[in-house]
Amino acid sequence: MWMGDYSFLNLLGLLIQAIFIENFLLVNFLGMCTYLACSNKLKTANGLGIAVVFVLTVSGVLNWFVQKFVTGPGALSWLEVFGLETKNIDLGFLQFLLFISIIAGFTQILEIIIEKVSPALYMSLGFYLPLIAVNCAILGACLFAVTREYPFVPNFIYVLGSALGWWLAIALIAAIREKLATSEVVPALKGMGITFIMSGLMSMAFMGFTGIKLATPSTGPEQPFPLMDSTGIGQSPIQGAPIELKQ
Amino acid sequence: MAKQPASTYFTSQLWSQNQVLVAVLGICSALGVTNRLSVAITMGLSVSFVTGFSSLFVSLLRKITPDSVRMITQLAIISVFVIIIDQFLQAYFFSISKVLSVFVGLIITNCIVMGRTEGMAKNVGPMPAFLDGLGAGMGYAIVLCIIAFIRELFGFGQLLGFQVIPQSWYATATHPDGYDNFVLMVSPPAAFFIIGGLIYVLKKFQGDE
Amino acid sequence: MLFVSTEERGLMSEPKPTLSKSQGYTICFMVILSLICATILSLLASALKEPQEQAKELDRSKQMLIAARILSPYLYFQIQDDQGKDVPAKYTSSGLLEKTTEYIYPSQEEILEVYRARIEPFLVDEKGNETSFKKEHIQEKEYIKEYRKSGYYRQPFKLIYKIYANSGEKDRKIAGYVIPVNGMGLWDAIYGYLAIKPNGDDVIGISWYDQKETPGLGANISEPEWQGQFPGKLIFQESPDGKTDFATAPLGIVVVKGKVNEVLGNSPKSRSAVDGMAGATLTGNGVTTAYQEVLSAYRPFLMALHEQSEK
Repeated sequence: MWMGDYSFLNLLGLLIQAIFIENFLLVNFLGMCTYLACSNKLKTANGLGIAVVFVLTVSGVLNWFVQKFVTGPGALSWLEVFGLETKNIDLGFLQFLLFISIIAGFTQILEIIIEKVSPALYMSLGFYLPLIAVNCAILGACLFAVTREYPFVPNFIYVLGSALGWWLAIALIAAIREKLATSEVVPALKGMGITFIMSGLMSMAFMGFTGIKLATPSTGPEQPFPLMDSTGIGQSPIQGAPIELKQ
Repeated sequence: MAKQPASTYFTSQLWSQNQVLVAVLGICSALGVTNRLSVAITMGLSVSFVTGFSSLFVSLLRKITPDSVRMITQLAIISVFVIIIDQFLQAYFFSISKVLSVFVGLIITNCIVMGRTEGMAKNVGPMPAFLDGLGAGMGYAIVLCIIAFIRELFGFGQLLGFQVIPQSWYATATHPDGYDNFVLMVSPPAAFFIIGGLIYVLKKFQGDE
Repeated sequence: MLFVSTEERGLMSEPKPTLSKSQGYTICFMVILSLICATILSLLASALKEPQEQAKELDRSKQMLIAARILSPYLYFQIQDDQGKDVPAKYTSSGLLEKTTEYIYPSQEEILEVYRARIEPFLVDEKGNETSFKKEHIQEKEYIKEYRKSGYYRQPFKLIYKIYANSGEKDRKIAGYVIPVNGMGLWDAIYGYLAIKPNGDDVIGISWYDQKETPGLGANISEPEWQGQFPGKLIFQESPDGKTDFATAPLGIVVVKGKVNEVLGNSPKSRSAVDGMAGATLTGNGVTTAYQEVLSAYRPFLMALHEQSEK
């Protein structure tokens, strides 16, 4: 439940996969709205990025517990300690509601804490927190993570990596937008139009990462991280399947 | 602001204030689910349903909702409708729900829905709120369908699963100079380019700069 | 104030009467709201549970029937004529399929009926002996749900399905077997079925019902054109001298990089290989590995089938 079959090197591979190969913004396209509609400065992007890293990592972990003990299939079996027949109750339909409540609730609590603890930090960061609650990337990362049924630590690494990757992508786009603001652009494309085209080109660049399997020795070029020794072509413990059991 | 006839709430959302192209919201799913036209239509209708009814209920409850829990209430109402749609799709449109998978859940965080409830519904009566929400959803659906139409046509040669570009046009071993599907259309960057293009068209049309 | 346009901002700048109700009211409000939401959703979920289960069962059944070529990928029934070609068929009240000239699309109930009549699950053990859920005291529904992801082939008792021929109750000949296959594609796990003839060697057909591969590239494994290469292939690779040693021959179908007739020509290996998909080599590799691994678990059973058919 905590580590599953993952070794520490698998976790490193999972981290790299979440940041680059399955970058949340440029490959899965989640989390663009709040960013695009609000600003185009690198400073703002960094603020948003840090806030997302924090909220997503903690929410991801909390939601893992929710999935494990409330909404997953057969999850309520811990109630049997009280003598209740709960093995067959399936609360899966409450998943969205509970997840978003946890995210929104945590964001609210975080805002209150920051305001009390460090007003200076609140001044710079506090503005973004309500925006983050509705950021597609946060709910998306939590949902993707539970669909893949990771054990606890890989789940943590996955959500952390997703958030870091999102931050990276946002920062890259902001930097380019700052430059675009002072460049000559076709009038009708100025602003949003050119931003989209630019994002499309960046997304194409990230497509270059496709197919790199960090935990699988393949028949292709030498992998920089030859991590697993016994997986065959097409197997990757990163992506959720348990490592082949020794026969 | 002068009293508008209720219908303008609906029509303004369709094009001149289109949520995707003007307010640039709802992008995430617009990029992810526009591979195939059938999926885009389903998504567009689902979002229209959710936005319309969430706006309606937020508006109905607006006088009794305490200010401090305003956003959470909106989120809760939106989630309920999204779950309704999700359960419904799983029961009656199973193959499409498999393709949409987590994107249905992501309607909750779709900025359009939240934007309409926060920006409009809590300030106006139920009927205008409902029409505004429905209009926003339909505007989104139209944009999605346009993108999906282009992507499926050029990326697969099909529309709604039916082969539109004749098989005989395709390149084979015997005449390698024939037509081939524009596979880039199927991958994500194409969606970005198409939206950029649509924004360009819209702006030119409106004479904005 | 992110989502608000300028005209709306004008509307909202008038001082709004703040609803600063007491704490108690707020808590009360939230509790009631939550209760109402939860009730609505629970009612809905229980009402829709049946159709959802049915939809899932229908989906799985359709895929198995497609692999067994009882249902075409375009979802009309079919039967095989004397030359082994598929011809459209229709569902008759006796449960059999009859040849027709036009395409008739059956209803969900008819598909389920045919599925229940013609496909039957059972188990084989490590040594290839047939057994059943009843005999091994295993609950069928739970077993199927539990091991779908990790793979039935890894269990001591492996799931497999019989295909009955298109005939009446009296003459229940076995027309083949369906093996559930799972493996790892480029992005995520892939799940499908492989249908083989009673001799344990020839492929009837395949299907992939759950995959998250790149649309237009790897996802082509679900397209009828690509799947259409499989009928008639052999899962036991023939050795160059024309004979097959069923105990040691490589088992499975290989997805080559490029076209089979270019890479393997007419060699015996080509009878166990299919064309790859341009730009989707890794998905193809995943498919190859899936067949290799899953079928090796069923080897004793397949060998026994072959021996029986030789008699």
